[in-house]
Amino acid sequence: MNAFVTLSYGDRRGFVNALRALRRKPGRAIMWAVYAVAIVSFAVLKTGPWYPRHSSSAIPPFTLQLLDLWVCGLAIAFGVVLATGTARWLGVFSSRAEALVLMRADAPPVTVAAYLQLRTVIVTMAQGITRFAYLIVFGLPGGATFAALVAQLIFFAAAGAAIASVALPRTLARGATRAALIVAGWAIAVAAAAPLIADALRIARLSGTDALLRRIPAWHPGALLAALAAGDLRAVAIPIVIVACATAAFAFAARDAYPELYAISLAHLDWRERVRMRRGRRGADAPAPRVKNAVSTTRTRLRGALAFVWIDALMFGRRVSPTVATLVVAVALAAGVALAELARSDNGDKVFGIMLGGVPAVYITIASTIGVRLAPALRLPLFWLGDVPLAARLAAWTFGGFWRDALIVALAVAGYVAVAHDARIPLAVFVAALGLLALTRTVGLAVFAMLPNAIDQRGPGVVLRVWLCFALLVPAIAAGTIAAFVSGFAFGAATTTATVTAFAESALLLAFAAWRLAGRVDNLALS
Amino acid sequence: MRPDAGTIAFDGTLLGAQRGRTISLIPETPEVYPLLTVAEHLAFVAALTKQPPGWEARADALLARLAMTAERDTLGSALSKGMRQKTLLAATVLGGSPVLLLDEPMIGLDPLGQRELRAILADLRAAGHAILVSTHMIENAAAMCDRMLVLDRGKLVASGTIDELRARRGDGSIEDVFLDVTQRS
Repeated sequence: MNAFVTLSYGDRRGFVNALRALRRKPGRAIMWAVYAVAIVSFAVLKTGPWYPRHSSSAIPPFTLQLLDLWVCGLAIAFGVVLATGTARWLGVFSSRAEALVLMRADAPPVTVAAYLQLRTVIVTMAQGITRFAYLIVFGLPGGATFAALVAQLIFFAAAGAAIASVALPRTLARGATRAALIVAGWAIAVAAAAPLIADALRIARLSGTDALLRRIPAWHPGALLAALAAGDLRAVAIPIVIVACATAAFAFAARDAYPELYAISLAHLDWRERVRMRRGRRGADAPAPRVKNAVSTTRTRLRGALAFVWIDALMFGRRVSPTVATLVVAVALAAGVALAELARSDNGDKVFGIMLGGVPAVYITIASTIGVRLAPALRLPLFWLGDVPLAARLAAWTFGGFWRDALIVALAVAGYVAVAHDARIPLAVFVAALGLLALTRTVGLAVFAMLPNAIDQRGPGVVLRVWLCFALLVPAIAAGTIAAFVSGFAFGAATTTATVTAFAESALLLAFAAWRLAGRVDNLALS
Repeated sequence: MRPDAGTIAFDGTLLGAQRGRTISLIPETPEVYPLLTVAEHLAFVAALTKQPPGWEARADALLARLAMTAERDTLGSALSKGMRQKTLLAATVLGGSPVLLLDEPMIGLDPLGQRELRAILADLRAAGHAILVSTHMIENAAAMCDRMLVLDRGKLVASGTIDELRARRGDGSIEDVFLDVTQRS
């Protein structure tokens, strides 16, 4: 235990210094306190006797399928990491300096290895709890006990830690153990995908699948998550056992593997530096880039602020390989085709209801967790060159990400129209989606202008973004409803009005972000 | 940065929030777009600042003047600090900024790079650009500046031409003058 205390000295001091830095900015401390109070308040509100409870026999439709998505999705991620041993987010030594200090520490290598693994697990769990705490507010159904709600939160954190914990042992494994882990990983991923495919087929009720579905047992791994409410803690216990086994396995495998650990750490640090460089940051120890030259494209008709859109497209073309781009196009088209098929199935009305209500809500909740990466752009001197107003620059920067998402939606719509042979409803959905995309992006920008710190964005920032998105949808939906009444329930007029309203709100958010960022960038760019 | 007080003027004209056209900052760590080539940086600035037709010839001339023609198709991520500095200099000059603000431009450059940069800055000054250099490398500043302002804890404590400042200490170096006026000698 003494060795662990010694090894953790640097991390503990770092944590204390971070808290001290927070003390120097009381605004941030207050904001985090408000965030914690809000999360706990919602947890209490959702678990109190006043919240309507449903019996286990009356689970709302599609709840089990949604829980399957969480459990199986995490199991697939676990299997893929176990099979591939991805080194992309391995913690190991966090810096070259730490490697030199810890490897020379007066502690057996097995203790150092165990400490490194435990640190990865604890950090992942802490990040998981911070990242998923907002689910109490927005995602998790109410009516459960407080203990069940906490157990669900721990499940997400523990599942993330389980995935992280197998990465290191898998990377160090050699020979027969490595082969066994690869086989086991892919087997787990395939087994976890099977219930999801069965769920999709059951919802779609495609013609010709009845006989097949009768033979497939109705197995719902998501039931484990639902069972947490009844005090069945298997969903939490399983990932924790995995973490414990993986930690022991890693400590055993890494007891004489300092060279390998150091090599993995360097590879990880290099990869992190490459990511930073791609985002416009460049550290002093930046590795040499793999590609040094490109054929220059210097002709463009886009002038003024629109030049930002041009360079964004140019850089996007270099960042994303043709294979990935083709894959995304294929998936988007296939999603549109699948939706059209689902809409034609016996459950078509239900599917459309879920799509209209559920997809925007899920999109807002997920999109709000993705950090706004404006700070690297603000650090570039050329961002500020010329006399284009800041609001126009921000609008162009926002559009840079917007058009890609819009293109994916357009492809899905094209896939839908190709099967359904009716463009009216998909086009209206596309127009509405444009408003939603613009709103979520500009809300992210406005919240970044208020909370530029990356850690703040993951906590209070997420909640604020989700709240703002839903709140700002109200005027758009109200305007659309009024237009529907005025136009005699013309679907196109209603969606166009709602989208125009959403764009107007986005313009106001851009103006706010520009006002907030002007003159404060020297602070924000460092965040 | 939002000013606490005062105004900034250039050539008798007050500069407001949209001063990006007049002043260009080249920071100590000159960041460029990692996935754009040098030529694309210039094309971007030409489009951003709405340069009239014929900017390509001026861009090529600038690259030749900065000895960067061979790096025309090099990506920003592959450029050294000196090359990134030169790219930003070329871009800002092409964009028509009359005032260049350089923060610690010599840090991280080898002696040859420092000499090259001094020559380029002298060249730009001769072409009519106003250049403001913020640096702690006093002797380096003395070798290339017409006027020097000495700031101590945010306050202006001395200013003048290099000769005027040297005259304050008789035969002292400009470093002695700096230590003298900041009372650190």
